[in-house]
This record gives sequence, structure tokens and C-alpha cells, in this order.
Amino acid sequence: MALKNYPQAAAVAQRALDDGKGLSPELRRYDMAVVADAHFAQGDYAQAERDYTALLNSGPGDTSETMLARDQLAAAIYRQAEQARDAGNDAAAAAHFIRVGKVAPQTAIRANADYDAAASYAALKQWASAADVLEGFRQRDPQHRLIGDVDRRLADAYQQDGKPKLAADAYMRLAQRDTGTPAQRRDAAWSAALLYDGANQPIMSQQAYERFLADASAPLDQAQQARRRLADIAGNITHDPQRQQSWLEQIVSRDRQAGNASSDRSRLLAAQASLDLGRKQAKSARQIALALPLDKTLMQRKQATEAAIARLDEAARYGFADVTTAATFELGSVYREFGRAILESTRPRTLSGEALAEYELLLEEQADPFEVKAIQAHETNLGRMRQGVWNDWIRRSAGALMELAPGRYGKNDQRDALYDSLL
Amino acid sequence: MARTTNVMLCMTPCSNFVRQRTPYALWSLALLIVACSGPAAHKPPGSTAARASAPPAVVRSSPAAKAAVARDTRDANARFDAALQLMKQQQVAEAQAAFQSLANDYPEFSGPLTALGILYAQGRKRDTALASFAKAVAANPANAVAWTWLGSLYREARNHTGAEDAYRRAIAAHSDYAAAHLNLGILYDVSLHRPQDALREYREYQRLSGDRNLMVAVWIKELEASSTQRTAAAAVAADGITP
Repeated sequence: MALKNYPQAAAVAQRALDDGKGLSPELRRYDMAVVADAHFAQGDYAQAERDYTALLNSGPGDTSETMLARDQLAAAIYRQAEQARDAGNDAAAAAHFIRVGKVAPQTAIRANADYDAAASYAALKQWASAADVLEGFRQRDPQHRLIGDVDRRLADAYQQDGKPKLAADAYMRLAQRDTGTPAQRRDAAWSAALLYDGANQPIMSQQAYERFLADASAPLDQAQQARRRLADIAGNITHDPQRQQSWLEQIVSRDRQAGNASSDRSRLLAAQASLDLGRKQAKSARQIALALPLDKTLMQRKQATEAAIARLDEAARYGFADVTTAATFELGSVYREFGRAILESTRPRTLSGEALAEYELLLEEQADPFEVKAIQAHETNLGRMRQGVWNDWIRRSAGALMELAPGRYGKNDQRDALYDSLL
Repeated sequence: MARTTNVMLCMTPCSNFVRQRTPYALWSLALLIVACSGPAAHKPPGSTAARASAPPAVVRSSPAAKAAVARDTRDANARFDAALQLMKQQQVAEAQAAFQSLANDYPEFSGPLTALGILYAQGRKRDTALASFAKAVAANPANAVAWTWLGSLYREARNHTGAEDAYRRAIAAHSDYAAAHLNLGILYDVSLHRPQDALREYREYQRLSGDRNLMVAVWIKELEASSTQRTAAAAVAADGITP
């Protein structure tokens, strides 16, 4: 063996074993080890596996010898797997890699073998098998130096296997682990967030987006998209209007702060956020009924309405057709509702008869300019058809015009008021 | 087409009355003017249609007859202008009286009858207006404005068949009279629920009016959308029964 004449070493040791007489158990195990090592050294890993198995079954040896034999047995199997993999036989490779864990579970090479088994299953697109092996790895050795790679492979396997929630969990572990660069952790959080969204896990997705945003160097577009999603989750899932408002305002302010570095995507998200803020404000305004004392409620409603108008104007100014037309429609609605609120306001109890009639006339005079403004807003929207814009908001503005000014915008016959030919 | 239609004018009962009270030369001239006028003589809205003034070159009459005809037509035109002026100044009663007098004296002209119909309709005298417009189209079957008014009044009275017929006659007389297409479109859309026909008429109205009416553009878009939905629904239904 020392001269690396492995065939000779194996032959001599085998002869001694075949004679068998007078061999102590220790010497017998020694010769068996020489035979096994010689086969291993010659690359005959299948035979080496059999030799090491026989050695381990030959009776109790000392602990270090047994451990060494077990490690060598594992190595012999691992080498067979490598040979199969190198020959392009991934199925055989995977089977051998898996056998390492079954035959010699306590060996150091087992983790590598499992990891490589998963890679072979992935090459075979056997995602569930790959995930099973990697999950076993993760549970057995959560502190292993390969654990980051294990989670990355797990995420991939689950994604490929159509299990977004489990894939997201793996990405989230990557995002939370101290290993990896900040950018890698941020990207993992982003992937987790998207996958949680895909798996309809909004609360988990909220956590992932928040973790993504914890990195201040996150790219603007992605960060804005994350804020948008967080606003939607707060608005529609957790029903937290304050949080929703906060995220929407952040979208607008971050876009403003970006200045020239802003992008079309960021501006669009800011425009949509402004529109949503305007709508929220309009909803608040709508809830303020003009009850007595009128001067107080009128002031509250006026302030809320003005705030809504400012937000909606801001949204319209970004210049995105869909947002602008939606904001203009909302503006028309806000004006119309304000006028209607004036008309429907609570009448002072002290008024009756002629005084009440005069008061109502006054209300109509006060409400009329708001109806005019509503009509103007909807007309502005309608006019955008000349620029080739057509969408639901213009359609709804046209509908509002038919209600507000049916004589002008209704489906009325056209009749000539003059006929100036004698014939 | 217009010439043939207008020659038929002399076959209407009122033409006998005209023949009795007007010199023959004037009658022939009136016929010729109508016959030769073509579509432009029947004023579409806003146009400055040719007035019944100098006889066209094809008229062959004696110099004396020509002079008498010219005098009489000048008189009718002058009175029509004056009545129109009253109408524009919102002097409704005076305008009505002036047009009525003109219609009595010149029943062969549809202009005064049309103007009267408009005044009656504006005064909510629907039956009188209908009668006046009916006389107007009898005097001049190519009067698209009077036909269109008739169509509109019929629709108002829920006489949808009469309305459709009147609008179609207006379009037959003047296919480029946009108002008739619009009103027929509304009739199909709102009253008869025939979206495809409505769509066709709205599109024609837009073509004739230079796509200026944005509300009509909206109605077209809506009809197109519902048509697409119907087609899709029909396709789904058809798929559903396919074995």
C-alpha cells in the first residue's frame, strides 16, 4: 500500500484472508481494510463498498477503525454517484447520493451527498424529491455552511413544483439570514413577497415587502411597487386606513424626492397614489352631511372637499391618461356632490313659508356654481376623446353629463329651429 | 331623382288650387324652379340654400310672362324674408301670421309651411305642427327638414313606425342631412332597441358632421362595446351546445 502497488497489496491481503488460519480478528480486519482501501485506491468503488461493508460486518473493532471504515464506505458510495453523474446518468447518481445517507448517515460526507442528490433530482426535474432531500438536510443541520445554498435550491424546487408559499418561506429565510450581501437579502425578500402574493398570503407578503424596504438602497421602482402593495394590503386585507394612507403618501413623497431620477413607473405609481388619496379624501368629505349648525358643518365639508380637489388635481397633473381621466371624473363627482349636499342641507327649524322658499332659492343659487364646475370637469374628460383617449372614466363622465345636462347631452332629437328656404 | 320627385309636386291636390289662382306662366315657372333646383334648394340646417329667385336658363316663356313670374316670386321671397326676420326676433304671433298668409297665397312653397310647423311645435301645438309639416312635405317631398320634424314629432307621440318612415324619407331626399341620421339613430337606439341600425346611423351622422359630436362618439363606443359583448356571449353559448 505504501508503494501504491494496490493490486499487489490487495492480492497479498486477500491471500492471507483466504488462508485464514491463525489470523487474529484484528489482523483479519486489517487485511480486509487493506483489500478495501486497495480497491478504493484503484477506483473500483463498487467493490470497495462491498469490502468496507464486509469489514464493518466482521465484528466489533475499535471505534476509530469503525468510524474510518464507515467514512470510507460513504466515500465509496459517493464516488459511485460521482461516476454516474459524470457519465450523465443523473438517476443513478441521485440513487447513489441518497444511499450515502441511508448506509452511513452519521458520516461527514452525508450533507454533501444529500446536497448533490438534490442537484441530480433537479437535473431530472424531480422537484418534489429534490425538495424532500433538501428539507431533510435543513432539519438535520440548520447551521451547515451550505444552508444558504440549500434554501436557494429549495426555493427553486418549490417554485418549479408549483408551491409558491414554501418557495417564499425559503426566500424569507434567506432574507433573514446574516449570510449573503444586503442586496442578496433584499432580492430574497422581494422574491418572497412576490411568491407570497402568488400564494395569496398577504400577511406574509406584507412582512416580506417591509423587509425589502428595510434596505434603503432598494431600487426606486421596486420600492414604489412594494409601497403600493403594502398600501393595498392595508386597505383591503388588514383594513388599516391610517397605514394605507401612510404608504400612499410615501409613494407620492418618494417620487417627489427622486426628482429627475424618478421613472415613468414611479410617477405612474405616484399618480395612482394621489388619485387614491383624493378618493379617500372625497369619501371623507361625502360623509360630512350639511346638518345644523350649518356654518360649522359647511366649513368642515368645504375643507374636506378642497383637500380632495387638491389631491385629485395633483393626480391629474401627472399626465397619465387613465389616472387623469379617473381624477377628472372624481373631481366632477366631488363638485356635484357638494352642490347636492347644499341642496339637501338641513333647513333651519325657524324658517317656514315665504322665508323658507327664499332660503331654498338661496341654496339653489349657492349650489348652482358647483353643478357648473361638475359639468365643466366632465366636459373636460369628454374632450379628451379628441386626443384619442377612451376609457371607462370618459364613459362615466358622459353618463354624468347626460344626467346633469340632459337637454344638451341627452339622446335628444336634433330639430332645426329655422327653415330659410321658400321652397 | 330630385327632378322626378319634384315634377310629382304638380300631381298633388293643392296644385289645382295653385293653377286656378296663379297665372299659368307662374305655375310653370314654379314647377321648373322646383324641378331644377336639385338637393341644394332644400336647405339643410345652417346652409344658405338657393332662394327662389331668378328662373333658371332652361325656362322658356314669353317676355311678359317672365316679367309677371319674376314679380310674383320676388313678392313671395320678400314676404318670406320679412316673416323669417320676425321669427328670428321671437315675434312669434306676427311671424306665424305672416307665414300663414304666405302659405295661403303660395301653398306650392313648402318653406312657409315648414316655418309654421316649427313655430307650432315650439308652441307645443303638436297636431297643428304635424298638419303643417305634412303639408310642407306634400308641397315638397324633398324637404328633409320637414320630414325630420315629422319623424321627431311622431317619435314623441310613440308612433315609432311613422317616425322611422319619416326619417327614412328625409334621408331618401337628402342622404347628407346629418340630423335625420342622428334622429333615426336615436329612434333605433332608444325606442326600437335595434343597436346595429342605431350604430350605422350614428356613424353616418358623425361622418357627415365631421366627427364633432363627442356624445355621439360615446354612444357609438357604447354600442360597439355591447355588440362585442353580445358576440362573445353568442360564441360562448354556441360553444356550450357544441357536442
